[in-house]
This record gives sequence, structure tokens and C-alpha cells, in this order.
Amino acid sequence: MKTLVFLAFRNFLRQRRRNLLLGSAIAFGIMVLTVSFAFTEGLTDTILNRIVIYMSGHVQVNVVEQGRFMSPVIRDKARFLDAIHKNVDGIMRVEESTGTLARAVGNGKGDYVYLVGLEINQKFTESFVLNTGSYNDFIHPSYPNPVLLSEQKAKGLKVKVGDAIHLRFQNIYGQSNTATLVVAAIMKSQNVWMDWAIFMPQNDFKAIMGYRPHETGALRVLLKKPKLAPAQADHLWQALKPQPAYIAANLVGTSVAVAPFALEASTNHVLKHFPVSDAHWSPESKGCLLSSLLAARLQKHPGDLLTLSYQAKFQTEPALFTLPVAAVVDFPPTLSGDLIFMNNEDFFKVYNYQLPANTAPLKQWLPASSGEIARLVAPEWTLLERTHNYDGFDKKMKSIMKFPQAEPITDVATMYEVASQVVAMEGVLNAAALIGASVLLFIIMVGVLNSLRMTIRERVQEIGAMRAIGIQRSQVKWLFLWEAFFLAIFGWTAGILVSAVIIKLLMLIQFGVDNPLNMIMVDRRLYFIPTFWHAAQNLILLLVFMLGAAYLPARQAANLSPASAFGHAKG
Amino acid sequence: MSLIELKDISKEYPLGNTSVRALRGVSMVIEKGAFMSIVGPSGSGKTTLLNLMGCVDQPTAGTLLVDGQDVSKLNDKDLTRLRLYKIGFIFQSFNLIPVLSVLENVEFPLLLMHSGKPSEIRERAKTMLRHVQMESHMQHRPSELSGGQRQRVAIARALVTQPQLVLADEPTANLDSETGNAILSLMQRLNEEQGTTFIFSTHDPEVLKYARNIVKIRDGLLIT
Ligand SMILES: Nc1ncnc2c1ncn2[C@@H]1O[C@H](COP(=O)(O)OP(=O)(O)OP(=O)(O)O)[C@@H](O)[C@H]1O
Ligand SMILES: [Mg+2]
Repeated sequence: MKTLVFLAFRNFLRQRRRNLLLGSAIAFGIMVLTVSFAFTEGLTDTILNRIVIYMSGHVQVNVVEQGRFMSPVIRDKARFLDAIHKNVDGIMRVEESTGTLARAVGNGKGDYVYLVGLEINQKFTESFVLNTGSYNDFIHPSYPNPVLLSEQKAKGLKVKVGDAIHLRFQNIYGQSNTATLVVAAIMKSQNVWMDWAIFMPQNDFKAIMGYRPHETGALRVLLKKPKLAPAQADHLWQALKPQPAYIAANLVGTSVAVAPFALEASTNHVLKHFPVSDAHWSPESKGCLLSSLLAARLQKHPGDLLTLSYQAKFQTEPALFTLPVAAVVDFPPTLSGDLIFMNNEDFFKVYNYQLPANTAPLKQWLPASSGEIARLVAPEWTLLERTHNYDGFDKKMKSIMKFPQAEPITDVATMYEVASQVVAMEGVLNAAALIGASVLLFIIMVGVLNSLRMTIRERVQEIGAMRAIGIQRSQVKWLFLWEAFFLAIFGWTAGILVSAVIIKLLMLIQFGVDNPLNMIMVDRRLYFIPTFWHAAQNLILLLVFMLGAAYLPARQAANLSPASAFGHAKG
Repeated sequence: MSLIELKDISKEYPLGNTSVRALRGVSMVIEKGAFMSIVGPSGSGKTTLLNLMGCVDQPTAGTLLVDGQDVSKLNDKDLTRLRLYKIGFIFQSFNLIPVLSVLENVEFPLLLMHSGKPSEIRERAKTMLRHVQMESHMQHRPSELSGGQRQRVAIARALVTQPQLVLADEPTANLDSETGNAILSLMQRLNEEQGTTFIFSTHDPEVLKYARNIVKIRDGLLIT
């Protein structure tokens, strides 16, 4: 074996001109592959890692209340974070994602902007290159609401460092609001995506939006292996299946539970269990449905007001709310009379604003034996089905937007749905490069095949002599396969080296500001990420082609008769 | 004891729709230690006969025993092994491996045989090159040698495995007569010193004086 490899290597060196030619062709093919793979990788990185990840993360958890999709709000941040950490493997970090669309007015000029709350961490300064102003003014401002924006946006709003920007936006409760922002720093325009945004420290942003400390917008999970996002999202989704919603409250010394009717609880369905005599009553009616037992004990009648208090989860003093009695009815015996049903829209207004501590479990009022009645209670949120591509995600979102609902909507998505076009683009570009290079490699393969045929014809007598001396057929075959292997390695190495030089040179070119390709550039330069994996992949591809090309001639050589050695040609 | 036995051997080469009968019933026995020459005019079947004896080709009819073994019963793999271990070849056009040095060429069959450690193989090859007085050119490539020098390297390569039989097809045809004589004396000396059986073909009567036995061939038939 060693002898053969050695001999094959010597043979490879022998056909210098021919191998130089073929090697250059291979190097060219490898160069095309390497440069285009590095480009797509770079492109995906700029778009996916810098932009999409800013917007969605690899896995994203969103909770939307009452159809306010522009300003998602997670009320119990700690609980969601806990679910993420317990159910997602390979987390790089979890970030709070806060941002909203707003109308900004600078010095006389108005524009729509995407206001982003930025978590100030070590990575923060790496993401921006400042033109004027300083990070310090942004991080430790001497004025409220400092912002950072691109020179492009600053020009659009006609503002300089120190100028004010007036902002109109909707807070998380859907109320119109205004705020005054101060330009702390202006950064270089890097790409159109960032040009659209105005950044402010997350805490300031959360304050103007009305988020309380235990609340946040959406949560973005960044994974060590982004490819695993769908599986991890599925896992997290399982863990986010909702519980029934209720508030364990106190009503004049009685421990009661207030529960919302589920959205799908139709009147007929409810009436089957509760024989309400009032013909105007429905599960959507304002006020609550009281058991006749409790009504009798409290001496309450329809139209009376109940005042309830409960232990809130994120506040020490008890929360209070009032509830008119809509109807009084005999409860089925399986159910505690101390359970109070109400319409879910009003319920979630109270519930979302001040989550209950709920130290007593719901089954105290709604035992397992109550069977089907349990289905009348709304879940704490609606967990949207998982989708795995953009079409599914889009369809899901459109259908949910058509029917806004009172209870929160929780969705777990990955970049493969939210940014599937970007992910798909990477695949398309790589496939295009692969097809192009395959055509190239195929042509080279024909060249290699012919060259080997020629070589073998020239070496008939030599091969015959080796066969006569005692080399086996299979060894002859391997001799030529090894020679092709060396050619491949030579061409590949040259191709990789040339690629490195070309990529270096291309990255030196800086394009103009108004270049339409700016959105895919970094610092107005083309961006490449050559990876070891791609180089290895190209090598494997090349070897497949080369050994494929060499196989037939090699077998032909192996079948040469040792008698060919007895020719009369000079050797 | 006989090393090679041919019984009524025929060899036909297909040629278009017909065939060429290169050998038409050749029978003979070659003893171990022979130094034998096959003579005959061009096209008489000398190379064909050597090919068969060297197990490089198979007869169309008849029985060929090499070292007591019927070669028609062996497959290509076994025949190749038989050639590697028992037979050495010296070709008219030398057929050294051009990309290997003189020393590497002589080592080559030993390396194929995996006979011993690399250092031992190297020593054996060097010793053999000393026998043919080529040790001073060990690092040369074949293209840097004269015809006589190449043939001496070829002899070293054929003999380094200590084969029972060495076949040489017109070993001196590409050499001038002086060099040819030197090559034949060398072969003769190695035959006497080491007892190796040599069979060589020629159509040069000059060469015949070295042979101990002579077999004449014409139109594929032995002439006695
Ligand atoms: N591979 C082959 N295919 C067809 N015919 C062949 C082949 N090899 C040899 N022959 C024919 O067989 C006959 C004997 O050829 P061979 O080469 O054995 O003669 P030779 O005595 O070695 O001649 P020379 O002295 O020219 O080398 C010739 O007629 C030749 O044309
Ligand atoms: Mg001949």
C-alpha cells in the first residue's frame, strides 16, 4: 500500500504540464465554490445573525394581548424564563425583545421609526460604530430617554446630537402616548435594516411603554446550534401548554375562585350545566354568574356589586376589584358553590394587569370529578399551534388577527418561520453555487478522464511490465485512483489558497453609500465567511468527482495484459 | 527435476475474424538450472513461448506445468503471485519504472512481496546492484542511464527476489554487441553462481555461444 501511494505520487509529479493544467482547472472550480459558499455564509450571517436575530432570535416566545401585535407583553417574565431554561438545550443567551413602531418628529420633519429597547451589555458596543456623540451619554445619560440612531435616520429627521425627538406611540395597554427623546449619539449607517431603527436603553423604553419590572416584551433565545431551533421550539411549546385561568380571591371572608368562561363556551353549552332563567344572559354578559348557595349566604341578588380582593403575585398589598352579579343559578353538586364564573374579556383585564398569586389550587373549587364542566373555564392563554415554515406561520397569524380575543395568545416561533425567506435564500444560493460548480467539475471530470486515458495509453508497456513483475490488478487500479487523488488534493489546495487571496481582495473594496446592495454588506464591504466545513465539503465533492472520473480508466489499466510488457517500444 | 513442462502447447491470437496460430503444438521439458536459448526468425513465436512460460498469458490448448503446477487451474490473482515469487523478467526494452530511482526499481518487487523490513529490503537491493556493478548509480533515474546500464538494473530487479526462473526476451536486441556480450556474461555468471534457471530468446547467432541448451523455433514449431 505504502509502495503504491509512493509510486502514485511520483507518477503524479511526472506529468507536470498536464497536471498543472488540470490542477488549475480544478483550482478554479474549487475557487468558485469556496468564494460563493463563503459569500452566502457571510450573507446569511449579516442578515440572519445581525438582523433577524435582532428581531426574532433563533427561538422566540411572544405573548399578545387583545390583538396588540405591535407591542407584545409577557406578564410573568420569570415564569417564561424558567420554562425556557428548563426546556431548551444549548442556550447561548436569552434576550428580552422590546420594540414598537412609532411616529417620530425631529426638527420639523416626521417619519415612522422602529423604536428598539436595547439591552446594554458588553456586546452592545461591538454592534455599532459611532459618528458623533458617545456611548457614555447613551449608557449614563444626564437626561431621560437618550437614543442612538444612524446618520441616515438623523438626516431624515434633521437632528444632531443633543436635539430632541418627539415620539407618538401606543403603550402596552393600547393607549396613545407621547415621549421626548434626546439624541445621545449618531452611528455610521451599516445597512438599511439598522437605518430604520432608533435605539434606546431597554429600561427607558420599558418605562415609556408601561412595562413593569416583572414584565417584558418578547423573549428571544439564541442557541449554540441554530439548526436545532425547530426541535427546541417544539420542546418549549410542550412546556407552555396553558393551565385553566382563575383568581383565588377573598369575598367577605369566603375563599372563592373567579374563573373566566372559555371562549368556545357557547350559551347552550353553559345552559346545559347551569339552568339560568334570565333569557338575556350569555357567557359574554358583563358581571358574574353566582351559585345560589353563595348568593344566599352573602344575601346578593342580580345587579348587586361584589368587592373581591386577592393576593397579587408581584405586589405586596392585596389587589381589589368589583364585579356586578349578572345571574344567580343552582350549581351542579359536583362543583363548589364558591366558584364564580365571569366573561373572559373582563376577567383578563383584571388578571393581566395584576397576576394573582393563586396559592390555593383551582381543584379546590373545580374538582376532577366535575368532568366536562372544567372545559367551560378558559385557559390562561391560547397557545398557537407550532408551524414549521413561513407559509404556515403566516396563515396562522392572519387567522388569529382576524379574530382578536380577550385571552392572551402565546406563540413559540423560530427563525425558520419568521425569517424563512432568509433561511431559504441561503439554501438557494448554496444550491446555485453547487450546481454551477458541479457543471464546472463535470467538465473537469471529462478532462481528467481523457487525460488519464492518454496517460494509460502512454504507459501500456510500463503497466504490463509491472503486471509481469507481480503487481495485482487491483493494485494497478489503486495506482491510478491515488494519482487522481493527488491531483484532486493539489487542485483543491491551490483553489483554497486562491480563494483566500480573492476573498481578501474583495473585502478590501469599499462601496459607495448609496449602493443598493448595502443591506447585504457590512461597513459597505462585501462580507465573506469561509468555513472549514465548506472547505471539507468541497474536498469531498471534488474527490467524488475525481475518483468517479478516474475509476473507469483505472479499471481499464488494471485489465491490461502483462504481455503488453513485451513490446518493442523504447522505455 | 523439471521446472517447466510443455505438453502439446498451442497458442492462437484472434485477429479480426480469423486467428493467428503463433504456436502449433510445442512440447518440451526444461530442467532447473538450465541456461537455455530460444532462437528463431522474427514472428516464429519466441515471445509467445516466453509469455506462456512466464504465466503472462495462457495457452489455447495443451498443458503447461510450472514448478509442477498446472497453470490453467490458476486465476489471475494466483498467476500474479506466482510471477512475483517464482519468476523474474528481463525485457528487450528494459521496462524499468521511469519515476523510480535505480535502487527503488530493484526494491520494488521486494516491497510488493512485503519481504522483510524496509532496511533489509534496501540491503538486499544494494547487494544485488553490487552484483551487477551498478551500485554507483543507485540514485539515478533510468532515463539517466545507458542501455547496457538499464539492462543490468533490469537483471538486478529480476534476480533480487531469488526467483527459480528468469525469462529474458531478446535482452540484448537494443544493445550494441559489446554491451550485449557483457550482459550475457553477467547472466551466465549469475546462473553459475546462484543456480538460477535462465531462458532467453534471440535471433542473433552471436549470442548463441553463451547458451548451454538451444531450442530452435520456426512458424510456431520446434525444430530438432
Ligand atoms: N497479441 C497478438 N495478437 C495477434 N497476433 C500476435 C500477437 N502476438 C504475436 N502475434 C503473432 O504471433 C506470431 C508470433 O509472434 P511472436 O511475437 O511470438 O514472434 P517472435 O518470434 O517473438 O518475433 P520477433 O523476433 O519479431 O520478436 C506472429 O505471427 C505475430 O504476428
Ligand atoms: Mg519477440
